[in-house]
Amino acid sequence: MLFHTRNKGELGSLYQAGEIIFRQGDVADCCYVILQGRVELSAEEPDTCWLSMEILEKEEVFGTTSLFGNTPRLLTARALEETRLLTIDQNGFLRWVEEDPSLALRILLSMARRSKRLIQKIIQLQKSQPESMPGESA
Amino acid sequence: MRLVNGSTVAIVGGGPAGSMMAIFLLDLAQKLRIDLSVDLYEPKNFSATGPSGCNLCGGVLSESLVQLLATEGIVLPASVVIDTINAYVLHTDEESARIEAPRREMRIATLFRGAGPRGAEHQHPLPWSSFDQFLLELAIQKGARHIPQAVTGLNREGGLPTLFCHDSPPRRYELLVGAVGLNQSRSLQLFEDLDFGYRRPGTARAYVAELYYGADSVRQRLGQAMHVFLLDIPHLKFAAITPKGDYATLVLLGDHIDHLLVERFFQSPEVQSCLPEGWEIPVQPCHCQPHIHIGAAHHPFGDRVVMVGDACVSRLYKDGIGAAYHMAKRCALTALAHGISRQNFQAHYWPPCRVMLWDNRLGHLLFAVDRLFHSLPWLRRALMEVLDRERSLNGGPSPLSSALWNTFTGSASYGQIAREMLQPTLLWQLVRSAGRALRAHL
Repeated sequence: MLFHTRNKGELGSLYQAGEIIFRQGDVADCCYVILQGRVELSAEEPDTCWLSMEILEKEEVFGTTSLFGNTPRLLTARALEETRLLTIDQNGFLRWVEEDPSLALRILLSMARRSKRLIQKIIQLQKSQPESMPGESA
Repeated sequence: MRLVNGSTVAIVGGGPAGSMMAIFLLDLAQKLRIDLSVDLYEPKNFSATGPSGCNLCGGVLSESLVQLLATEGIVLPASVVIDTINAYVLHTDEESARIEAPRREMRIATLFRGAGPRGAEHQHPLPWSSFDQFLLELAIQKGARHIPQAVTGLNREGGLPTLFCHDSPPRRYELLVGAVGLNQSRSLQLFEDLDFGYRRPGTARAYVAELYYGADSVRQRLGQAMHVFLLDIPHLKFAAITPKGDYATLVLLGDHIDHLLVERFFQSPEVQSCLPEGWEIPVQPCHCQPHIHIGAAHHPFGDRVVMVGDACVSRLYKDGIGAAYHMAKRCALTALAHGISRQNFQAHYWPPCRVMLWDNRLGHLLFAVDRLFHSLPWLRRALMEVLDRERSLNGGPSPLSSALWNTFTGSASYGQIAREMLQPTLLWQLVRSAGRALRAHL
């Protein structure tokens, strides 16, 4: 029996480097799990360039804040390299969390880790600013 | 009766239910800062090809389970995912209809439970890995101890479950978990002989065969779609062919599947169109006739002992691995957060099992209705007409496609499928089309 080189399928959807996954202000109807690659989350401010907030790697879940809060996307997500993502539907996700609150625990832990990283980043940014006198605006 | 620091747990059976039970127990214990010791008894070598290394199953992971596992942080490695599916093709005697995945994304995985079909061992190294082995290794990484021995006896000493294996002294555990497959009759018997009144669930037999097409023929004939057949063959309830790399997996479900039914299935023109040109049915393909869950187990728990997976409750005719995930997780949560007495399992583990059993009753009813579509050609014509109309709407509401998608993928409960099918607009369309088709038939 001869076997061909495996022309296998892969789960999820493939995004090319630089491709936008969703934009700040978009309507949110899903969240994502990174199966492979890296994703940058950034804030788009008028008259300024994109402000990179964080870079996420394999196995991280993102896009959940808008699902819980039922709000538009807070940040823009962009693939930093060839990235494979699995989409998690909003309806299914909220139903599963309701049926199994321990699933929300993993999301909360992931959010806590990301909050910690952001706080560290803010502290570092503040440290790198020249010291300002009390009462003087930064 | 609770699990505390230093407690020991034995899990008999290292299939998905057993491995996931170990993963969730150890994960939750770590979060609760409880030092737990988990022994996982599984003698099967998942790196063996053919039925001896396989847990006898069609090997399709539902859309919802793929999403749930990913959300849990369990990302299936590329070597485990043999193929992916983003569409279903429904074949009837008159025409075929294609139902695309709602997001057009690859979210259904086909895989081998063992090391692949008999005969594949000629290829070294094998270009894929076993799903069950992947989960077992994940359980070991979490801290479970894999004991590759068959359990030969179960007893209770001093109130604690005691486990016997050949050539090793008896071991006593605080909690005994039966994650035994329905095809492990001897192991099931050991639990039935223990003192908590357990009786295995009612079963039917399925037929699963791995048919070698070659990857090119699989792509050409099947694409990345599961092919489901609505055929008027007595005793046949469900038939599907699924792409899996070089192979096509045939799954038949029914009351009484014998070689005559299999032959009749292959001879039908709808199936012939899915077979490679000039392909002959192998005399002995790698096949099995596994027991599948159709009824409820009796007394699936007692003090310090509980059954999970197929040995307790599963989804009727679909998503058995998904059911094992849900039940293993609930069982682990009950054992750690509430306790391990019969009352604890009754109060916290049994309610979701009962919901699944009620849903299965509804599933039996839906399959009885489905039988009408198998046997009445004018009803099949009406079904295809409504499907055609939904497809022509191109992005418009498509309740029938959605209900069929959920039926085939195993992503939704039978209750949810029934709610979709009973939408007044869809019912009206079906009745109207059925009336037209019946008039033409007469």
